[in-house]
Amino acid sequence: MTGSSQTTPVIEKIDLPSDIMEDDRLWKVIVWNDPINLMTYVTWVLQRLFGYSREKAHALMMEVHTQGKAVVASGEREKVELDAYRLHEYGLWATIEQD
Amino acid sequence: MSDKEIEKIGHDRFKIDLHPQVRQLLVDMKDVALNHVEENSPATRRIFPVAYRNSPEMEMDFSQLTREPLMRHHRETLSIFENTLSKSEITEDEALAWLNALNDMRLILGTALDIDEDRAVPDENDPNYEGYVVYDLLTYLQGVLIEEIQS
Repeated sequence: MTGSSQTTPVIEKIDLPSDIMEDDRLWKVIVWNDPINLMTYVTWVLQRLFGYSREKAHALMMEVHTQGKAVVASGEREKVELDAYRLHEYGLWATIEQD
Repeated sequence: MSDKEIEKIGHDRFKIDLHPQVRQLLVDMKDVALNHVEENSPATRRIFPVAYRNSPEMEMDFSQLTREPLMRHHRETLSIFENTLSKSEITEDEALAWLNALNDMRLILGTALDIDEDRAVPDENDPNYEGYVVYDLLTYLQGVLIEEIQS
């Protein structure tokens, strides 16, 4: 066995295109106010889907009602997509955005 | 003795007491809602909402993944509602399907009627008067059902 004189090249910097660089900004699910869904129904859905207390779900519903929207959940993209889909099953107007 | 149209009477049991005309109206409304769903009419935009408002590409991917399951969900919900509408008692799972179906029907009818939060009491001379009356009936029944599910 002989020793190697090879050296490992050091990569100091790679300029990746911005769309494939890891993006760790948080994804969030937003529920928007609409004139049809009942306030009691929205509160109930938030309790049922996310396990929120009645107080927390009511506060989020009131934020939707008075401010026009509220962030109801956040996390990785796959998780918030599932959250949004489940909200859509219940007829809530839910969208996905990144911070 | 209760005069509620829908009442929780025990674990997994809800009593249904609807006037025959109300039942028939709900069957008719379910047919209307299902037609809108099958025809992908503009009135269904609230039951198939856009998830990615700022990215058409991401919205296309999301929609391709979720459109069919969501369509199946709405069809199944309306089907359970129709198949149990003549019963005098329903289970909790069936009550949850009713809640979903009532909400779908309200979202479709409310969108078609362009309902807003400041809506006045319906005027009998309004050409959409009957639609508003049905919408208010659906709203009333959904309110009763939510209360009973939570009781």
